[in-house]
Order: sequence, then structure tokens, then C-alpha cells
Amino acid sequence: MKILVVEDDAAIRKSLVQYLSENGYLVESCANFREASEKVFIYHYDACVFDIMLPDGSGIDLIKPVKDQHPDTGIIMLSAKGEIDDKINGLESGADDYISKPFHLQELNARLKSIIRRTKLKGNNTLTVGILEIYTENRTITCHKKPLELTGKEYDVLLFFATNSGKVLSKEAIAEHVWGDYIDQIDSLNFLYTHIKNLKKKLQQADAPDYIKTVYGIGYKFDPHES
Amino acid sequence: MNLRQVTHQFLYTISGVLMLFSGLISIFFLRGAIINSIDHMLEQEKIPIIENFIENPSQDIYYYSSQVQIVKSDSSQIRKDEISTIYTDSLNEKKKQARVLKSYFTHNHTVYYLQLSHPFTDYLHRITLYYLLFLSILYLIVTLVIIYYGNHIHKKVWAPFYSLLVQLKNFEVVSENLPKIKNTKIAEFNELYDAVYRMAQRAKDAFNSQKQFMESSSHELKTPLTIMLQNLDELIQSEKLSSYEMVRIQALYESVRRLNQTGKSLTLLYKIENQHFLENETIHIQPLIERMVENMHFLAEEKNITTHIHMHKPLYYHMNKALAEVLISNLLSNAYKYGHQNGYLQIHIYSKQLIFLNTPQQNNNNEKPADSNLSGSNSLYGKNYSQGLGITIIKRICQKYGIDYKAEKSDIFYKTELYF
Repeated sequence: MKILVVEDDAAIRKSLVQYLSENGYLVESCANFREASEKVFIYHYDACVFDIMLPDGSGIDLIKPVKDQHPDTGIIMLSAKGEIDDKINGLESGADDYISKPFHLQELNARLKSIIRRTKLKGNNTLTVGILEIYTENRTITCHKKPLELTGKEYDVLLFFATNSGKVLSKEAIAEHVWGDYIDQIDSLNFLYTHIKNLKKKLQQADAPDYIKTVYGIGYKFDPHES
Repeated sequence: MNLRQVTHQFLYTISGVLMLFSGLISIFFLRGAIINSIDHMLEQEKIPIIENFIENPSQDIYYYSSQVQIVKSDSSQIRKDEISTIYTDSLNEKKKQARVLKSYFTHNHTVYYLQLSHPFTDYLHRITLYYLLFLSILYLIVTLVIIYYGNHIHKKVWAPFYSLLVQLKNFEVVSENLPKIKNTKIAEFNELYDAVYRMAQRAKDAFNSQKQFMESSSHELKTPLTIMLQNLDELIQSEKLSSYEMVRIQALYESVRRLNQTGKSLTLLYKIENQHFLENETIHIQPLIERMVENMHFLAEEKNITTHIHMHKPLYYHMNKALAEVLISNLLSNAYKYGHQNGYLQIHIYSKQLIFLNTPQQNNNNEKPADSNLSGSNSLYGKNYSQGLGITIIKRICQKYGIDYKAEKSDIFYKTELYF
């Protein structure tokens, strides 16, 4: 999968390129609108990550040229402004998703995978991790071909784990992905412990291996290959 | 009362007073003119009557009629001619006025007293009645003309003003359009338009400048936060981290999250205070609360707090939807955050009032004050770990929409009341 990252801040760009490369993507990057315009005109990418505020233009203006040439290219917009207008403009211009800064790398990874499933793997809405099969279209999960009875939030947590399989996920990343902006209202993320405990219990009752490991002080790691 | 009504009221009052006075004055002068004409007529009649008498002086007392009397007099009573008004008195008739000419003349060395009278009450009343009728018709026509042309002129003259008023009512600083005025020859309206245009332009510039500043500030804050977060996300992938390092990293995560929360809260406060939430709609509060309670269930669940919503009467309020959500979510999060383990939260909804009643948690000396120095207000909830902007945001939203915020604390409950 070939991905283009357009971000003017060198530190963020470097971090994105490194993280996505480690996750198996072929990543190209550039720092400004002009260079990005040239790249999207010449090359075809499976997905693009565009920052809205570029020094010589708006990332929103890159969406149309990309979608005109390659409608199946997934586009994620990044914005530090947090303005709802930007989000609406970006999505109306054809972007597939929108992430507000600051964001976790695992969040970007989950969104990228979701977009690629939608745009590139049409019809294939099934994700297999270990003995678990996740059906994203109807939000169900089976273990040993038997359905797992999960709450909506437990499903979201497990899907987030599965899309970031083998990676350590901080409690913040999990909570922000699943509970969104409501996390801003709380001081402690202790509630997450109960949800993970319940999820682990349900997996255990379904005879699934202990895929979810607690990483001391930080969060959790979902690794179907270690069990 | 609008401008047209005030103008018309003023115009009608002035016109009415002027008509009344002019009517009274004209009747006064009319009466004077009638009396003058009677006096003149009496003077004219006197000479032929005297001539007629001289030709036939047969009696000592002559009554030509009830209106003409000639009697002998003595020379000591001779005076100049005198005309005056007298009241005739009759048993069968009402008292009536008459003009009387009193005159003396000498014939054959005898002095005669002549009295000519002319009743005028009926005549005067008749003339006055006709005149009043004429005056009423004239004033009615004048009033109708004033109303018609008053409306017409009002509409025509004030058209640029009303056009500007409509535009100002619909003017929003976020809109591209500035107020435009109809072409007018009235210098004051052109001056008003110029002043309003400049003011609108300044308001727009100030708003855009604030918006730009806010976006830049947000960008400046969020870019380093993103870098910190991403470095932490990469760092935790290392398998060589010690327990101590992991705890330190978690502390950094928490700091980044709190910095981000503070940035968002400050941006929100800045936006509320600088009128960035312009689109209002009628919000039905009950379904909003129900949705928020469901979304924030995880907070209640953490402390096993039971939420009861009591809908006494539907509550609707005209406000910005996003701010309504912020208001309710902040009230809920405060109630859950500072609520007692295994406690309850009661939400009472009335047509003009919203009450949040919950069991308070025990005070803990290690906790920090809810309202920081930034809020400048006393906390209802005492102490907490948050940055303390939640209550300030609630108060600012209430202030913006004229909602009375009241908080009450006792040992057994926290009560937050909003009066819409």
C-alpha cells in the first residue's frame, strides 16, 4: 500500500513516515502544497494524509485533483485548527476522514486501515486476527466460528486492538478512539480497566487465547501471535 | 411603538390641537363678524325710522314693532348712540340675545329716545352650525389627506432606513455581505449608511482577526502536542522500557491530555465570549439530556451512580446546538465526577427550569480546587483533579443566553439549578 503524507511540520512528518513505514506501508512525504500537487499529478497512491494548513495552500484543495484522477484513493485530512467548518469543507470536498491534532499514531493507523478496507478491499469487510473474525459491516465478531456477545464499546475496543495488532496502545489512545470527545470531560481513565476486564473475560469464556496483555503503567497490547 | 406610529401619533395630536384652536378662533371671529354686520344694519335702519317718525309725530310713545320703540325723553338724558347686547326674557321662550341700538334725537324741541333691537341667537346658531359642518368636512378631508400622504411620505422618506434596519438585523460578521443602502437624496441617510458600513467592516475585520488569532494559537499549541504524543506513541513500542520509565511516560501522556483539554476549553471560552456561536435553533432539552446521559454512561458506571430523569414539563430553549450540548455534558460530567460512589443523580426538567440533584462525594484533602484562578469563581464541588474550566464554561454559556445559574451545596446533596 502506497501512502502520501503531506505535512509541513518536519517533526510530525518524520514521525508519521516512520510509523507508517514500520506498519508495512510504502510512504512518500512532502512539506508543501506545490510539491504535493506535483506528486498527486504524477503518481497514484492508495491513501493520502493531508494537513489542511500548508504554508503555500490548503490541503483541502488537494482532494479534488486526487479524487478526479483516482476515485479509489482514500484521503484523511489532518487539522490543528479544530474548526468544524474545516471538517465539513474537507468531507464535502471528497475526503474520507478527518482527524484533529493532536492525535495518536494508532488512531491514524486504525482510520487508514478502515479507509483502505472501504476503498480498496471492496466487499471484503472481514478482518481476521488469530481465531477472531471481525465483520465490520454488521459490527459482529466470531470466535471459533461462534458469535461473541459484545457491547458496542467492547466491539470498538476490540476492533481498535485488531487494527493495531502487535502494537502497545496507551490508555489515552484507546479511550479517545472509542469514547471520542467525551474523554475531555473526565480526569481519570480508570473506567477503561473495567471495560478491558469485561472484554478479556468474554474472550476467555469463548475459549479465545489471552490476546490482550496489560503493559504496566501505560496501556495494553493486543498480539494474537504471542499467545 | 414603531417609528411610523410615533410620527403619526405626534402628527395627529398636533393636527387635532391646531384644528381645535383654529375652529374655536374662527367661530369667535365669525361671531364678531355677524355682530358687526347686525350693528351696521341697525345703524342703517335708524335714519329711515327717524325720518318716518318726523313725518308722522302723532303720539307720545311709538311702537312700530317689538323691535322698534320711540319714546319721549328729557334733554338731560341725551347721550351718544350706544349699541349693546341684551338678553330678551320671555316666559314661553328661552332667554335669547339681541343687539340693541340706543339713540336720542330732537324734533320740534322735543327729545326722543329710539331703541332698535335685533335678536340674533337663532341666526348665530344657524350660521355657526353650518360653519361647523363645513369645518368638520374640511378637517375630515385634511385628516384623510394627512393620513394618506403621511403614510406615503413616511414610506418613501424612511425606505432607506428600513432597508438598512432589515440588513442590520440579518447581518452576521461571518457573512460575506456588508449592509447596502438604497439610493437616497437624504444626506443624513447617506451619512448613516457610511457609518454603519464602516462599523460593519470593522466588526468583520475584528471577528476575522480574532478567528485568525484563535486558529493560529490553536495550531501553535496543537502542533507541539502532536509531536509529543507521536513520540510517546513510538517510545512505548520499545520493549526495553523499565517500570519506572513506563510510569514516567504515562505521566507525560496525562500531561499532554490535560494540556489538550485546557487548550480546547480556553478556545471554547474565547469563542463563547467573542460571539463565535451565531446559529441558534430551538432545542428540546429532554432528548438532548437523554442522549448525553447515554453517551456519558461510562462515567456513571465507573462510580455506579444511578441516573433518574424526571420530566415534569417539556423544556424548549432557543440557543446554539453545540453550546447546548457543551452545557449539558459539563453539568453531567460535574455531577458524575463529584458524585458519591453508589450514589444517584436526579435530573428534574420543568418548562422553565432544570435541576441536577446528586449525592456528594466525601472530601479528600489530596484533591485540588475545581475552579482554578482562571475561572475566578467559587466551586460548587469543592475539589477535583480537572483544570477547573468546566463550571466557568457552564456559567459563560448561561450568561450568554440569559439563563440563571444557581448552585447549592449541603452535606447530603449538590443541587444545580438553571432557570431558563
